[in-house]
Amino acid sequence: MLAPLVIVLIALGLLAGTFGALVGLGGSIILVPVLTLMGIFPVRSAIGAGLLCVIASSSAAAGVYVRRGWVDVRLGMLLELGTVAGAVAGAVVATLLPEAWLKALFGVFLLGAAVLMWRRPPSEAEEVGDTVPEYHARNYPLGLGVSTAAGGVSGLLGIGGGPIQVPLMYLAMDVPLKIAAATSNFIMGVTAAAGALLYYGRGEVIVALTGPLVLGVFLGAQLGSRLARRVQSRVIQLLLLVILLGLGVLMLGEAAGYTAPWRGAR
Amino acid sequence: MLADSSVPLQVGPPMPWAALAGQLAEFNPYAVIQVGLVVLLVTPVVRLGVGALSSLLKGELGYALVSFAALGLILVSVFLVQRR
Repeated sequence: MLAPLVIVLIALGLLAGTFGALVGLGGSIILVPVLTLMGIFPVRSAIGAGLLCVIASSSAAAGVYVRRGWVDVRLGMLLELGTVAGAVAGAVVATLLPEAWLKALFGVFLLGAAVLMWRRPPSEAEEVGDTVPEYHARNYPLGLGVSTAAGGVSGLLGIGGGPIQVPLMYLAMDVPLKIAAATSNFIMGVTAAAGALLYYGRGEVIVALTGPLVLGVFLGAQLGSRLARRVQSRVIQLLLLVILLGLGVLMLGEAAGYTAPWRGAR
Repeated sequence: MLADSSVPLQVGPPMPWAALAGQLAEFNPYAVIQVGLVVLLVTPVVRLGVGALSSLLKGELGYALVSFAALGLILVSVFLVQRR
């Protein structure tokens, strides 16, 4: 029989994976703080688990994107060099920082993501249709620089970096939105693997707990991408905003030494 | 509450490579999960290597070089972290 904690972790992964696919995130931006706040994972193990979940959700979506021909493989190959370098640096820096700093950084990142979400206009109109417009990517040096920073955030905090990569390609490099999303997903797998291998090598990946989580995320990402067209996106955006804000405040609280009420005394 | 439950889970760092083969032979479920996670970890790296090779074969030296550089960076960092 499965241990109760294993079932909880599969369910958590399933929820985060489904929700992540609905809002166009990997799900780790929610999973890493939730795991840390629940007190099951030390923060670095949560980050390692988050990176493995990024690989799982990126693989789950890759098939669809590649079949539709939305991945700009050459652009992806170039930007990967930046994200990989950043991810390795981020994963190294994560060992040097105290745990409270990592929690505080994650809290700030969550609040920042919430602010960006609030300001971002809904982009549903551009998602319709399978045709790909003609485009010429530009601003490669800027792209490589920002990709390195995105990789750094990925290796440091255990997320995929999509919220940085997609706007970069779309706004600064003139890449159409769906190509940007698909190419970001393509890059994300290698980026997360570069960081995760270091967490694994340092013994920070808790196999017994990460396995069920990854399974849940993989299934959830498949489910979420099928649901995506049926659910109203305004409601989801608002829900995501509330979740990001709440988790951000709680992570900052944890970093400052306050314990979440459900965890009891430490 | 969850962290205190008396679930018989093996919570700790991954098994060393040397122990993994023996545990797999004994059908230790954690060894199976660990192999699954390692396969997941290595898949994107293999994809990177295959991409680099196929660019090389197509004569796209620039793209091949960029991908081999990324691959080299990953392999060197893994080598260094294993040696610590």
